[in-house]
Amino acid sequence: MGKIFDYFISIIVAIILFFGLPLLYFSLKQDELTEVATSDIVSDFVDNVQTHGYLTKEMYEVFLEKLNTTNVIYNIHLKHKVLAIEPKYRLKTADEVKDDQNSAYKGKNIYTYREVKTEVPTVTDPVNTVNLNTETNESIMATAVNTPADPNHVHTKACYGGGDYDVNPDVWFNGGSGPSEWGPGNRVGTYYWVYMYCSHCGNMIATLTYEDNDQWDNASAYNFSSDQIQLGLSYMSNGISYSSCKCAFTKWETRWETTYTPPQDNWTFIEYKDGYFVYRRINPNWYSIYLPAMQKALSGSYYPDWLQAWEQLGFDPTYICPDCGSKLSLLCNQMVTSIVPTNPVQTVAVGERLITTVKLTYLDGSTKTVIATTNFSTVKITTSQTATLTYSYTVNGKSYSKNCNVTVTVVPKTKTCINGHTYNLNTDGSDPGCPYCKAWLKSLSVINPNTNSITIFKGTSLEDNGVSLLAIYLDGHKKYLYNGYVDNLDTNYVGSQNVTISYKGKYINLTVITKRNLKKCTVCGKYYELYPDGTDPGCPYCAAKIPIFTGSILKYYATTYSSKILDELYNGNGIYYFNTGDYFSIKVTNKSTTLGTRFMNFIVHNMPAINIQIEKGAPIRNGFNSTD
Amino acid sequence: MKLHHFSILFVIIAIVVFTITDIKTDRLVSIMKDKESLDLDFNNAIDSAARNLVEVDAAGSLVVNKETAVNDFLLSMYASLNLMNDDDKQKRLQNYIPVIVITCEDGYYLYYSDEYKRSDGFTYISKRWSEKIPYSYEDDDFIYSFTMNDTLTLYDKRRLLDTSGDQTVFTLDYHELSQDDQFENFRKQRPDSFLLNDDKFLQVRRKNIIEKIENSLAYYCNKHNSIAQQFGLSYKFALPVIDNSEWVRSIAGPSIVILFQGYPIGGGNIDTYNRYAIAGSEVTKKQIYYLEQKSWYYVYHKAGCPELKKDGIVILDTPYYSVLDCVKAGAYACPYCSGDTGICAPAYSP
Repeated sequence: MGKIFDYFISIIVAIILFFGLPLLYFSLKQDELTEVATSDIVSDFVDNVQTHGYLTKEMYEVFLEKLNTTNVIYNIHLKHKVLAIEPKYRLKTADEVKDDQNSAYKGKNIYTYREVKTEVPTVTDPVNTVNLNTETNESIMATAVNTPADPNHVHTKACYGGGDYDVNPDVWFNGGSGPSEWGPGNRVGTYYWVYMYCSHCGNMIATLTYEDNDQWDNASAYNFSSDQIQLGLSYMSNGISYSSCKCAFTKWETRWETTYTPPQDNWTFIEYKDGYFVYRRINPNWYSIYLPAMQKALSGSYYPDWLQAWEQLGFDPTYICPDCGSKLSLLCNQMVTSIVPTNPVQTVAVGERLITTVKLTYLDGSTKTVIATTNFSTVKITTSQTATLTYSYTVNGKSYSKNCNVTVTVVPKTKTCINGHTYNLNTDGSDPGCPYCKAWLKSLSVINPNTNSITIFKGTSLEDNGVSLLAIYLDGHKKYLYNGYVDNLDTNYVGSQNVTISYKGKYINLTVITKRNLKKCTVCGKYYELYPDGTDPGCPYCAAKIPIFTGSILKYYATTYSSKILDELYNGNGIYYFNTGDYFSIKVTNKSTTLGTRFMNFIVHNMPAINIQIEKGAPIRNGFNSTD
Repeated sequence: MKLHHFSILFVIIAIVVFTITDIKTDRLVSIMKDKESLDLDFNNAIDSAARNLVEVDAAGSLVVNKETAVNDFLLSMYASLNLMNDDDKQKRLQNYIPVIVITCEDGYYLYYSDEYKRSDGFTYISKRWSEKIPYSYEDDDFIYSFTMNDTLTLYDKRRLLDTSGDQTVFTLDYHELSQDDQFENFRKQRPDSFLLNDDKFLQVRRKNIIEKIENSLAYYCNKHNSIAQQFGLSYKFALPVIDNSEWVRSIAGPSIVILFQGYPIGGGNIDTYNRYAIAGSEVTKKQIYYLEQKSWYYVYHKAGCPELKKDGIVILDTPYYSVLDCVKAGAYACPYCSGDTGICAPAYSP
């Protein structure tokens, strides 16, 4: 039993050892050799492809044939690495397109500067301050100088009031029968007496007697040439006895001492003429008597001159009012001969008083400045009106008035406002408000926009965009301006510009940023900007969808694998072309297990099945297209 | 004998067998690896040689830089074999290159080793260039000198071409012989001359050129044997069989043919590496591309693309000479003519 067992064991060992081992060994060796052979075949194939530059179906099949001879099934992986170059395209961003469009824009976008100027509104309010009266009545009066009387002045009857004043007393003649001159039929008698009595004091001044012979026919003159009247003395000369009184001979009365008593006549002194006092009877039938002027009788000589005589006698020639008989005084310093205004041309403000001072010239030559009155009202504004200055005065109870004319221009009153403007007040004195301040601006400011800049679209104006200004006038009132201001916005310019807005002479600046107009794209529906001159560049968003060439290329290795290559060989043209410079590689691995492995698997399980692994590659030398 | 005896015997034998097999396979593997690496080196070297072989000079004509090409090849080989610092080894490498042929338009040069005697009486061996050997062929009527293009130089032996004048040497395009009036006479006399037939002419020309080169190669290859011997190389250099299809490339334009033989590879120099390489360089006319403007991108077409003939498309005027230029201008590939090797535009409509 044991022997058979031994025998068995030995047989088995013998088999294993003597057959198995060499088998295993040689099969392993065979594998190695197969590998070498396969490697050779593959090398050959790769070389072939490398030199030819293409792979034909025949070449490949020959290769497969050769591989077949090794009795192993292989997995063949072909790999073709192509240097692929590809242009790189990218999509532009819309901004890039816009930049391109902008740089391609050949149009002009020029800013033209316009001068903007507004005028300050004209306000005419002429203020007449010329020749305004600077003085007042009071001031003139204060500085008036009154000149005294003219030393060369000679008193005349006018100096006593002029006109009808009696200077010398009337002569009452009273006497005998009168000549026919005294009355018709009164001539009687032989001689006549004329007694002259001073009507004032009643003293007899003169007595006139004369013979009948003398005819007093001459009604106008009785010439006592031979007779002399002596003042103050009573004497008789040629029938005239004289006496004197110390009065001023204002009135004499004559008394007749005859049977005929003629009415009492009054004789009025007419004048002193040519050495005669001329008297006239106050009677419808009047006569004039010429009495020679009495000479001074003091020394026995006669006064050729009546007044002279009186003065020498110490008489004061006075004037007597014929009505009241009161003595008249010298009035030549009260009688105004002329009146001249001190300020003939005046410009006075409304309501102000005129200068009514006038310069009076008296009869005796003296002047005086007084305040005259006028009823000229300075309420109304007039130009070169004539105002009458009236000066009333009283002399001896008689009132006189003198007038003179002044040219007056009444101007309205002016006022200066706080801003320094002078303007006329209303006629009634009310303040209409300074017209300058009303019309002129104090300041101009922009209220909308409330920042210093505004963004608008091209072609629109500032008014369209709601730019409004606030104008504050000098008098404080405010006005909002929505239009009507002047600006120098260049509506054709796109960009930022400094716009000057002006209204009524005030200027203000505003930064205006003009944007280009927009247009809606019909394709994509987005808004895009037009060129500054209005031409259409095309929608940048649509253009951005179009890829542009970046100018760079992608160089990469594209690998084609066996499936594609074989596809081309078998289903396509039958030739697969390579480019020079491509890399062709082939990897051959065994699919079926080789002999050796199979045997080895008996002993040691899970041996790696792939033990033939050949990988060869080569760059193609004579390919087609060169990518150089 | 017992089993255990057999086992021991077996083990002994097995070890021997296994070891030997191991060694052999390893050797094979190592040779294979070496071969692979050398192949790669050689490929790189020949590529660098071919790259600089031909260039277009200022006047527009082709210049074959044979020295540069060979230099490049050698430098590349030195670099990859790690011989940059070793002059001696560099020289030895050259011994493994029996001959290099550089073909030009109208002839070819050979680069081979030669012995020569210097003034000091010693014989030196060095590599040298031959003169240009034209592609000549002789038959009864003419002596031909072919070129790689259609030009042909004829020596008229029998005055067939120019009956009236004295001209015996003609340099012309071979088409002229069949078209030009002055050769009417010749055409009458030799109606079946291969000169008049395009196919035949091409065939003859190719055959002749290849033959000539092969002969030279064979000769100098053999010659190298004697020289190599002096270096201690016992390898027998011989011209390998080169397939006609391989030759085609070389005679299409200036090319370089390098024979590289006898290079020892494998762990203990057990095998030699033999390789020949033909690298033709063509100065290719650059492919002209035209750009067409599509909706938002450009597309480049090759010159003969049918898409260009369609109407209603916008084509730009400037031609581009390389795909890179086209792409730099922003063009994708035309799916019809360039879609295989270029990238087509993505489908996006704005």
